Amino acid sequence: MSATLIIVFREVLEAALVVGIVLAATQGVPRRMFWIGLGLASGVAGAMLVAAFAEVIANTASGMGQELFNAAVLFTAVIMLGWHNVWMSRTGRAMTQELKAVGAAIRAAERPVYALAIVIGVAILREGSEIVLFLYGIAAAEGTQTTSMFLGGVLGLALGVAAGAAIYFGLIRFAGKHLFAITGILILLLAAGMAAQGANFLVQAGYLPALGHSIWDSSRFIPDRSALGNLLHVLIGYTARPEGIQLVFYIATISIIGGLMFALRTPRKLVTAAASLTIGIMLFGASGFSGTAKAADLKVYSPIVEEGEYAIEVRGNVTHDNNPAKDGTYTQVTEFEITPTSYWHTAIFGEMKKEPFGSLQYKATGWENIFQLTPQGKYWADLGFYAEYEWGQKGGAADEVEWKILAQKNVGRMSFIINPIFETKVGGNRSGGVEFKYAAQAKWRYMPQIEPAIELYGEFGDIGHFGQWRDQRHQIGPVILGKFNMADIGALKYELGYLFGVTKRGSPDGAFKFSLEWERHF
Amino acid sequence: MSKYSALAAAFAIAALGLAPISAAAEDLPQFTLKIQNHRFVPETLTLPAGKRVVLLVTNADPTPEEFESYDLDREKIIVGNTTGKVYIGPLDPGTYAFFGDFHQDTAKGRVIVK
Repeated sequence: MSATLIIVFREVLEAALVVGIVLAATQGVPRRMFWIGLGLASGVAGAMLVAAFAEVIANTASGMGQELFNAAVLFTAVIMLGWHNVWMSRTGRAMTQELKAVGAAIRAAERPVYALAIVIGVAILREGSEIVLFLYGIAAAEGTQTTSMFLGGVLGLALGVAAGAAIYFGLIRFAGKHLFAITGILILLLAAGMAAQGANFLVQAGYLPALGHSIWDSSRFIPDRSALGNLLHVLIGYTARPEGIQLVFYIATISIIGGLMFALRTPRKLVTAAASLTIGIMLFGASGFSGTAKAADLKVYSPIVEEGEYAIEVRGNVTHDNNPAKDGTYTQVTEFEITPTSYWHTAIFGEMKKEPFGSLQYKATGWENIFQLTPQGKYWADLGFYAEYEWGQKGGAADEVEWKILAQKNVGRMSFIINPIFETKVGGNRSGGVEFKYAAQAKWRYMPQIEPAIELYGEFGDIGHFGQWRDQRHQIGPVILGKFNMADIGALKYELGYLFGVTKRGSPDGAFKFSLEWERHF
Repeated sequence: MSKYSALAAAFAIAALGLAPISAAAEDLPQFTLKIQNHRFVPETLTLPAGKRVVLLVTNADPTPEEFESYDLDREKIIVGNTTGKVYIGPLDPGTYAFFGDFHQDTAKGRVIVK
């Protein structure tokens, strides 16, 4: 009986905590019980279906169907949680502007409860299907113990539901007027944890690289199997020995959702958003990252800046090569950008990198500036200047300064950009002279959402003695860029591309690059 | 395109874009593990350090089992009389415990990485 109790309790706890938080977050919404009831009912029905078809699911996608299904379910929940939070921030603003109670009530009715109903549905579906399979197994095998098993199951269920009720009533009773600020943060962390877990399923299925097995190990302090470890796992996605990729997804989720919430809040509510962002930055900085690796960040810069724009960008690239020493290098840059004037764009960024045999490490914090030198379209080409300072994050790592010339020429629907780049190390541990690099792009502006391009990147080496061609890095390949406008919540920009190595020794055989940016105007 | 579907599309693009990185993993070293009478056979499995491997878990019992490990951060349900594939590693040397989630009293094992 106790084994049944523990397993059922653990699975129910996960779903019940999600339901408890969602219930608290939808406090005061008319007809919310209908949506939540629908989520519960479809979750239970779905759990039975998933259990019944467990074998079919497992056999799809070359035996990786279960992992892909779990990942899809988790990412669906992440999007719904994020959607709800962003919506809440946006409407929080509108609510304070409309002082009339009637206006606020109508606003509340429009809240995307269906998004959270879906979250409830998928949470129950995932955990519930495990319970069904487990109980089926015991019932089928040991008929004699059915009664005690049934009792254990009911008790486990009751305890799990009690935990969910505890978090719900706790929030309602003690959160007071900060209720939605607190549920907002809880949902943000819930989403980040789910994204990391989803990424782990994709690693398990062989679709994503792990990027390092144990970035840190806190299993001595809070073991995963302990009660506290379990609770933290559900609430904030705690794992005692996280993989690098889990951190990447965790940070990206917090940056994107937290950033959207932050940007869309009214000044009065800035504090709570700042708190959620700070959590992200703390995780970013405090996870023991350090490194000296030289990163190849693949991005082409336009000299054109847009006054009043602010943005969050996550971009990265991963290499592959037959030579293990060049295979699986991963570079990721997270940027917070703002353009205060018509000619000046500035940003703070953090750079992470994983070397072929290492794990993901935090490499540098940087400050970037773009100065648009010529008014757009006034001269034959548009010109700009880029200056960047990077603080190396490890004792022994030198700081770096980078200058780029940004030149752009538009011909009809074609756009050509070239960035000559000069980089030098400065400060205590400097070495070498000035290095010469370049980035270039030829883009066809087919439609705002889809712009095919060819990009080139390379590194000749130290000015004065470039070395042999085959030792230099030169990469070229197709990239697709685009931008989706989402009315008053801003625009989403993306970049996806693949770069072939041109030189044999100096370049990786291939590199996959991606970028996701959310931008908005004051 | 609505705001929501644009957001979803962007997430989907990001997710899809990441998908094919390490798909060509069929030639990885394979190791087998059997579940019989709610026990693992063998209960101790030795794996090479610093390598990605495939673990083929065969459930010889008629009832479902979940191969689970906190140390390896893996969980996979193996329906009765089927075999499941789990990618593991690359791992550092050490001992990693795993268990059958549905029969925790008996189904216990460990991976020793050398």
